[in-house]
Amino acid sequence: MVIKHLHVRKADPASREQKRRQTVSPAHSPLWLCVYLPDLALDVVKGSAEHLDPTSPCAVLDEAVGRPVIHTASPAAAAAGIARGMPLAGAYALCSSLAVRRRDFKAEIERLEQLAAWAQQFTPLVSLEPPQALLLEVRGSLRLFGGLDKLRRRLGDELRALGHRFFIAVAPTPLASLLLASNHQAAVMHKEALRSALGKLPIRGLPLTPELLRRLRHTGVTHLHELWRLPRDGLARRFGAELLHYLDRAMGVLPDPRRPYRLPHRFVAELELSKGLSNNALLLEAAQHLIARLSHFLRKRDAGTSRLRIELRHRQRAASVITLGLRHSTGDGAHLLGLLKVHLDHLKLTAPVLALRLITDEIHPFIAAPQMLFIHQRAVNDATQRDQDWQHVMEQLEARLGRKCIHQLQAHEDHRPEYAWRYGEAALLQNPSTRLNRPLWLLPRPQTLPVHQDRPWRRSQLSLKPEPERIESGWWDARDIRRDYYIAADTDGSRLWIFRDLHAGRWYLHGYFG
Amino acid sequence: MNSKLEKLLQGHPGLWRGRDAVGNSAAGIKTGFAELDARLPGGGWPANALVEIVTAQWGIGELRLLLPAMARLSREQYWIVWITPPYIPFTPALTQADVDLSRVLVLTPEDSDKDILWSMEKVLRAAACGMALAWPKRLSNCTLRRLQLAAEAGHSLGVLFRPVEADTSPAALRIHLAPKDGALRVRILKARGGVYQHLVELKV
Repeated sequence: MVIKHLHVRKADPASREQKRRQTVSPAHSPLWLCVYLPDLALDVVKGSAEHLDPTSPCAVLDEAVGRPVIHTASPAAAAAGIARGMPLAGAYALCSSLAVRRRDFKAEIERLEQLAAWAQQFTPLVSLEPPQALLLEVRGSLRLFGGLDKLRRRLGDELRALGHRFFIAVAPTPLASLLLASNHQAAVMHKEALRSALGKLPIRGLPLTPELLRRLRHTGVTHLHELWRLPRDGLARRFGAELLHYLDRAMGVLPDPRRPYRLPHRFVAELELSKGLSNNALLLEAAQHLIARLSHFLRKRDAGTSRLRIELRHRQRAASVITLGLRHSTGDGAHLLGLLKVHLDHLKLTAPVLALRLITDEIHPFIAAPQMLFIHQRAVNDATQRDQDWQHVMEQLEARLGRKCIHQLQAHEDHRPEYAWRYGEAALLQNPSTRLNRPLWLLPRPQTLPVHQDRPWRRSQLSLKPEPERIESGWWDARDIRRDYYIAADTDGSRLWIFRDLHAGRWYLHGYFG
Repeated sequence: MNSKLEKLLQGHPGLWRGRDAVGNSAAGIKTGFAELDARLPGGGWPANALVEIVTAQWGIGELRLLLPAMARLSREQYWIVWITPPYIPFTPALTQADVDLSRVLVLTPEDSDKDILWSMEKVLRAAACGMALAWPKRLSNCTLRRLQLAAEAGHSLGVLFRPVEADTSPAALRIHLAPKDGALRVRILKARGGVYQHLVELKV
């Protein structure tokens, strides 16, 4: 028997780390795609009322130390030498025909949110990176879209159609992809290659204060690879721990969770009109754009809305508001437009409309009516289709007539005729009495009848059927009645329901047997 | 008779056979009164057209004439819409006649004739509506034609009450109601497929 020596070799940490990295398959690690929009500030300003010619030199201003400085310049302006951070006076010196606009932060965030909503068709994890980038986690979408190249091409085509200049970069960590995109670099697929790729980038792209940048430049650091060479504790001491954390997150050493963008619970869309509109038909066309956007937003969320508010802004006057209330939440743009048309047809505008604003707060998940497949169930399908159409008709009636003009009838257990019915939700009696003889028409208020020779008189002497019906009721709520009801016939042929009030002895007409 | 000739006589739309026309119009909604059904084309109220009821007074049975059809339609889950009724439709009487109240709607638009006719057209066009009753103040033949088309499109019955008989009207069925000795005398002024004026006395 030979006992072989068993070598128990303690694996050294380096090889253990290597083994661990090899076991984590790169196919499952996250891959971040960054869409960087260098001209976003200019693009949102271009859409506003005053026209900005994109081919001519124009720029957007920002405020720095109280002076206006250039934030973004159009390609024509950049060709003249205007760059970010240049003071306005210097920019004018370089190019005298420069058109400038102030930066619109709100519009930029709104546009970024709209783009985030658009980007959600590619991946569920979209994160905003203000002021001008979007981060998409695309590892899970690669297979669906046929590979990274196809995905990038598709993103590129759609962004170009939306009218934005962009740079796309891909990296294993979000910060790395952001840095690469803002420096117009391409893709890095593996973590190991990150260090060398990021090393080539200048430190200008890092989110550092100008003071810190100046100090780093004084120490001779201009690119990131020089930063890698510096000792970590020295870096932390002299330039702050945040810088070190930033670099660690970019390299993937520290985790960098990103908050995914969630579509808001509120939809607000505005449309500014270049000229004041007074024509209701043109207003409807303008509103159509807003409603199309709302419908798109709702479809993305698989939701519907049951209440809309449209504000029409006038100059120096309070805004006119149209409220559309619906019985069931819907995302159907055509139906909403039809309802709006009904309102607009009635609206009398007091002043020209300068802007339209559509707001909806009530967003509910959309439940579609089930569609039947089999032919013997098609009758039920028709019935549900009929009910849906009826709901639409009801909404249109409410829009035109107002809710208070539409009633259903409700029956009450009460002997007093005035209280035996009510306008309200339809409600049936549990066991309706079948012996009663009641007229189909009831007068809203009993009408007094003149009396001639002890008999009630309408157009002629009324002949009463012999047996009256005595109704005495309502002692409990101070509206008690004591009446003798008779069925009377008039000589012209009508049959009337009249009563004699036993308190005062007067005769009244209460209904017709229609 | 030759079977081909029979088929031609019965089916051809260009041939009018007067009262015996068969397959001329869709089957009607049974009125609930056998003598009236016998006189009306289609054996009842026209299922997708306008009916004009000319009556000068209330309380002679003008609603009770429609009540059986109303009850049946509401039980089949079709809506019955009353547009500006002159008085209140009394609920106990409706429930006694077996009308399903959950399918009854009353519209009371304030005052404008245009609103009344607009609502009637909208409601008639809906397939879920079985019967729409209206008491308009003014009616022109042009509006009547539109309502007739709406009733055809939505396969609903529209009933218009008028106090005075107009000379011409595009409604499919026009009847005049008058009381007579405790019964209701129904005079058919105009019906599709018949020229003569029928007189029926009904006990409603």
